[in-house]
Amino acid sequence: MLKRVLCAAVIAGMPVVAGAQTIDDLKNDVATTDSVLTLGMGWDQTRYSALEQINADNVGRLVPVWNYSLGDNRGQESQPIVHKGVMYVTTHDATHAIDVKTGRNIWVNQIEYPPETPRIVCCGIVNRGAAILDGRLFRVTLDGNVIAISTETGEELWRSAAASIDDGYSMTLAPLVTPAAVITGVSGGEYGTRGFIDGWEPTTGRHLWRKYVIPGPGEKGNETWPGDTWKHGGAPTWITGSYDPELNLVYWGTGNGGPWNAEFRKGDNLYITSTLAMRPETGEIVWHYQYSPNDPYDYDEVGENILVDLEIDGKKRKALIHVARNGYLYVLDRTNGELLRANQYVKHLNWADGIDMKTGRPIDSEITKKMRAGEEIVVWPGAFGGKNWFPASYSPKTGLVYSNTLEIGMGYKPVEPKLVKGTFYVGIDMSKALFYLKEGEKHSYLRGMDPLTGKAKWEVGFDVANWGGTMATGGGLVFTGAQTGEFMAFDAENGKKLWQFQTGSGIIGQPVTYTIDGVQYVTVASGIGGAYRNYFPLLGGVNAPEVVEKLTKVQPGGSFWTFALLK
Amino acid sequence: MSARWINRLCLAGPLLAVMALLAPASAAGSAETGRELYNTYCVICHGPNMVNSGARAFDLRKFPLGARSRFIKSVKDGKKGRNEMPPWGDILTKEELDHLWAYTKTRGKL
Repeated sequence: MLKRVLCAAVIAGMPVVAGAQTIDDLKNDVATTDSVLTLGMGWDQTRYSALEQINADNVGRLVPVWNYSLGDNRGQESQPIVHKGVMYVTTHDATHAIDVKTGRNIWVNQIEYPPETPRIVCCGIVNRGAAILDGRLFRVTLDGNVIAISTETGEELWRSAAASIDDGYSMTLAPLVTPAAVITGVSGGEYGTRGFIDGWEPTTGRHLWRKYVIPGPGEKGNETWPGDTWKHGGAPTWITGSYDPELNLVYWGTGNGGPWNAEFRKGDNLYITSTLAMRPETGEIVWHYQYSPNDPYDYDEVGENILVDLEIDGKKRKALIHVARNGYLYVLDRTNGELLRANQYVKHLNWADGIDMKTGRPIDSEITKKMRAGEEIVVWPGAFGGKNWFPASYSPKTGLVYSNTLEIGMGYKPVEPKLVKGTFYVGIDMSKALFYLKEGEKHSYLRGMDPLTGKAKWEVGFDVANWGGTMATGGGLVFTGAQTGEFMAFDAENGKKLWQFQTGSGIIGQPVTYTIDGVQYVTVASGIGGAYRNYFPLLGGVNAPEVVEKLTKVQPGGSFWTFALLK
Repeated sequence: MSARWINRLCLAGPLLAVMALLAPASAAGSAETGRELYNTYCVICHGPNMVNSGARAFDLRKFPLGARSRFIKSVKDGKKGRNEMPPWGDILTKEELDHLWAYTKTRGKL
């Protein structure tokens, strides 16, 4: 009988791997709070859980249940995947399966990559997580491969090469699983690369399609690049896109232009610093919105696109919220890319005089005009942006977007760029690239913002910038971590800090929550690393020494912490 | 000149010759060229003028000045450990390594 069932399952094309889950499971990830199956806790990437067992009234009783050592001193930015009592986490060189009840290891899959690889990784030797489907776990390797691992045994099932470190590419993102393809992007915007997005067949790793973000000769958009500049024009795709199954559109962000010095690539430079709405079957771009045409400031707009339905000007809109690195909070119509809102959310911004709502284009400020003429300037926000890679969350309960945000300027002097293998291709004078902090002000704020105005209903300042994601819950809480090690819970309504726990190293990870046997747990990675830790102590800056001192005291050491209420 | 002195000269001759051969190898590096190479390949981890807190990469200002071969080996082959460093032996030539060593010896104060 069993044989017959198995046979029928195979004939029907159903997976027979133990612990398998389906596309429908992924689609329902938001509703099924006993698992976390997708990056962003749902294809819409709201990073919101309706769970309310842990809430503003009792979060003070939150205690650690277990700590799992990753045996790794690199930065830990990985979001866990949780399925049927097993947690899957990644580091730059390993994937771990952990029994959620006990915190014990089930299997570990170690990855080897060439020791030369870190030469072309600008912003931290990290990995941001895995994706799963039908008993397969998908992840990328730092040296440019996409691999599938059995969720049951940890064995590698297939490996496909996406990019080469010899060309300046690396990979750090979590793949996106859609019904049509497993989708991945690349890092390398500072190393003379040309960004692209790939589709892979989940069962075999067969390459289905590639979409270069920078159009080649003969393709629409190539005319926005002078000469051969398109070949090394950047536009990396290093953060996972979101997906709307009803519209069948993937929303993928694209990064900075290369070199940073934009005078060497005059033109809009499609499709740098954009949100691309794409078909997952082919990679076809259905619409695009470009935030900073000809961007000179490293304003990658790879960060999450949050898909929510909002009432705007009396009309229900299928919206897309993007807290942009360029300092503006955007709301687009995700059916067609129409610009609905663009409001400044940082205090200090001098690169533009606003966004022209008719054209959707930023208006160059006098400062930017001076820089384009070759002058040295201090630009706000600096290259770290108003917000960097760390994902924001959205609570339908409060209607607020919760994001760690930055108030950091940067010295900027354009010089002639030099394309040298294995080195930065930016075309600015690095000795002038100091960070600027305003005297007497914080330079990092957790903000609860109205997406339609960009205004913060509340904000909490920090001495060392937060570099991790946020998560909002139905319990009226916002979770995030500090690089000084504290994992914290805030009241989602007013920003009051309700709880914190020192995790030992700095937090730059992405919290998740879920239930096991009806009990709510919260998990986050601890382990300092990433771009701020790399560059803030290195380049220093004005009003920065105290920050550097506090930051450099934090010790590395990767682990995962899981919390629950004290019984 | 006594036979003893002649003997001494005969012994010293080859030694001096060897030293003459060795000297250019360690002195051939140009600190100025080294600085240019440093600003291309090394600055992004080790910092402008070698100034960095030691949080991301080894503070080169503390590198022992008598440890040339260790320096060359570290840059060529990379380093494991807390401040892991990738190898550069496939990109940097022997001469370029000498220039980098010459610059490293300035402690970034060129």
